[in-house]
Amino acid sequence: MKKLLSFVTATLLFALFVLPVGAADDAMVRVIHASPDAPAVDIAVDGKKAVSGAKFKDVTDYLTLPAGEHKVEVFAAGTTKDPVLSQTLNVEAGKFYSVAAIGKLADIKLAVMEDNGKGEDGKSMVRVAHFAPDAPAVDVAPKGGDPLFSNLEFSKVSDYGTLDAGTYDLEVRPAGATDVVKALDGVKLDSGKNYTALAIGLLEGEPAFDVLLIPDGGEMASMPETGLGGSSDTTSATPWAVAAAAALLVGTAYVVRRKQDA
Amino acid sequence: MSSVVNKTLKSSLLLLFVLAGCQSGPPPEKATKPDQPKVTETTPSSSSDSSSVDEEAFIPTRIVIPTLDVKANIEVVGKDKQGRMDVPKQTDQVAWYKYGAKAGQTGNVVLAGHLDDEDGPAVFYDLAKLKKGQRIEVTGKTGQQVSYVVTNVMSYPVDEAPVGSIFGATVMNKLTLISCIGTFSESKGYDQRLVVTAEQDE
Repeated sequence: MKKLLSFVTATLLFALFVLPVGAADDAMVRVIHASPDAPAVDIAVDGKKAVSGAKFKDVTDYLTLPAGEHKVEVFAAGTTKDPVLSQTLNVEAGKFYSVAAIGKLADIKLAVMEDNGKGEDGKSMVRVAHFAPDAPAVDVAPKGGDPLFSNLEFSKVSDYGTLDAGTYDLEVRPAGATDVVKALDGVKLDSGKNYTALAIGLLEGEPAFDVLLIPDGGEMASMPETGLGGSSDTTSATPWAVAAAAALLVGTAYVVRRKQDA
Repeated sequence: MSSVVNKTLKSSLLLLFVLAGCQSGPPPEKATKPDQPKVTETTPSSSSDSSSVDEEAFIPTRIVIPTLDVKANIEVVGKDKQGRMDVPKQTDQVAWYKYGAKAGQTGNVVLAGHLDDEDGPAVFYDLAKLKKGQRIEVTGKTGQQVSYVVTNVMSYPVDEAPVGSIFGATVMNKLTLISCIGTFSESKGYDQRLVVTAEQDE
């Protein structure tokens, strides 16, 4: 697991900028840099910088975007003119999306995937995205077994397949063949979680072909109600303020009483 | 009839709270107006492998923040009826969001604690004083321990909090602490949320 399946680790050097949010009306969108020869990039959403300095293999956290159409522009990091890519993205409320910049820089494009956010107890849903531009169509199978995902070509993303949660030894093979392009030993799939296995990099040359297993979706919630108002110097309110409040209270009570009497 | 009286009494008390609140001014946390970093300068370490600690993932039962002298037990919560992350039943305790990651796991460990209760400061009263680089220790039932290092302290209007990056999947081993901040109103509670982000220490 350690050697073969390089989980993208603490490579999130870029910040996620704050974008306006309205909870249930929002979509969750993350960005994946999967273009092997592209430089680090900044990404603007609707003209506002949303991701900064994402480099190859980086996967951002989910940005919260209002449902609807958004203009996504990808710039070489540090620049704000002549985007490498510009595309309209249409997202629906409550859904998760992964937007990957794929292909070599000369013909870079965006692949938009809808992520399955909901997990199922005891199960794990997995899909494969083929984002390695010089790799042939591939199968992904348990070691020596029949393919779970077949004949997946570059830029294509499989449907999710459901597996029992657990640890698997998988392998990537050229479609229909038995030789192994990449062995993926000890792939751990947690109960209730969904994943995308991203095949990225180059078979010939650098950065080398690799498979990243990234978790998808998540159980969203609104922010908790973590305060009840009694903190700080409520007690140190000046006596006259308390007196004023008390007077007002008496007044209110009087009015209420009057109303009831009437 | 008595319920009407009760109601009157209750709203009067609330009124008193609000008035007193106005006089007492904003809480001291306001001083820590969050910086607005356009880019977080986190050093990348793409070669390391966070999955190696996955085997030791555990449900956090206790949190210690040495610099704030916070030591608290952690209870397990889900969501309330309005779809919000639930809060700890006791205001001297911290809540762990059971749909998020376990401690030591790839993903986001989400903990929430109260700024205050009806009477005064609660467990996360001083949370806004946390600074980048400071440590947060989380332990489990059988003594397992993981520490996290603060990378960001920000406050957001309550409906502008980055819920996608807090509750959504992430490829990092992250810890997020949530509490209240800002101005209190009887109808809406506090109008902001304080979000402390930390990354697992290797």
